[in-house]
Amino acid sequence: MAVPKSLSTCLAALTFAAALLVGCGPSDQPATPTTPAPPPGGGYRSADCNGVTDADVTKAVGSSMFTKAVVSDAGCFWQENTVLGTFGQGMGISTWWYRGSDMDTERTLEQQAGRTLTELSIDGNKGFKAYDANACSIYVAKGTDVITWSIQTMNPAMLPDLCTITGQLAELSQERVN
Amino acid sequence: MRWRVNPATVVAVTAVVTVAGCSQTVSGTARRAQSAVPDPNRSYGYVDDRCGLLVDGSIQQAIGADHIVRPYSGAVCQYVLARGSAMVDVTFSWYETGSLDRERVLATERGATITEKVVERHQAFLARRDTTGAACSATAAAGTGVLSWWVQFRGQRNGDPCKDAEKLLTATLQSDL
Repeated sequence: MAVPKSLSTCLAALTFAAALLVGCGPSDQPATPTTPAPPPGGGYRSADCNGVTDADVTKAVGSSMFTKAVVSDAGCFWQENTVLGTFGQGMGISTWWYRGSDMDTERTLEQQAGRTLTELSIDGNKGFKAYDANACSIYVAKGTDVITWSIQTMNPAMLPDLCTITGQLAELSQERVN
Repeated sequence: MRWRVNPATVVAVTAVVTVAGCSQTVSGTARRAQSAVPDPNRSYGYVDDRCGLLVDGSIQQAIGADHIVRPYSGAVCQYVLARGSAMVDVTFSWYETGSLDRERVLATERGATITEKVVERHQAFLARRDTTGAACSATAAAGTGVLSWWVQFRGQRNGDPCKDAEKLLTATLQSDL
């Protein structure tokens, strides 16, 4: 049976219009990626405490001298339990993740603080350590990101070599978020 | 016959419908361009014993603390404060080549509750996420990158750390005027 000409024209038009509307659709929608984008600037993957656990810290230190006190998007801090007065509140182990920063800025600050600097490389990423009798910080860069591990204590005699502690933690981090 | 229609008519009709259809389905929210910060050349890095342009005394005063120490200083600065018998933790971050979008994605992925804000003419957001205490960050696009203040009432579940974080962010952004 013949379809009236006007109706067939209309049907054809609607079919085209529907097809084209579908085609238009996606470009008009805001982009909603379903999988996390790769790290900008070729940086690190996201993980609380840069992938390191309380058990890792206890193992690196060889005892439970530190208690986790900070978990933020910038990083984490484990405070030394043997805090002596308010001054001791800053003693402990910390890790930070700089999402877009120049490692040379930190190098200059550590030099100004009078610490000894040594270049290093972990898991293919370049960095340096800065240390004195009571502290050792390790900085490792990837793309425009930097991950730091630091220990600061008034009781170095009660602990293994400070740079050995932060070195182990920095290595674990690089293995897990690199 | 069924399909003996004038092709030109079909094209003309579909073209009209298509144009109308496309223009009607455009949606989305107008957004301020990320680069439109009022201080494109400003640095908020650690200098002259200040993080985010603030001396330790300003942070202590903003939090209402009795005591403050700053064990770590650099692109990230860390503070430990005592307020009576309570401990308050504060961190400041200045990522000179970072972006507000990256920070928002990360905070969202980690389960924070996000509130969009404009603070001192800077596009910003608050991110509430309780971990080792009641905690909140106030983050803004500023200068060449992004800066953030994070405040935690250590071991607590009550209180509004977002208020203090926003207060510190406001203080940093005000000091560039």
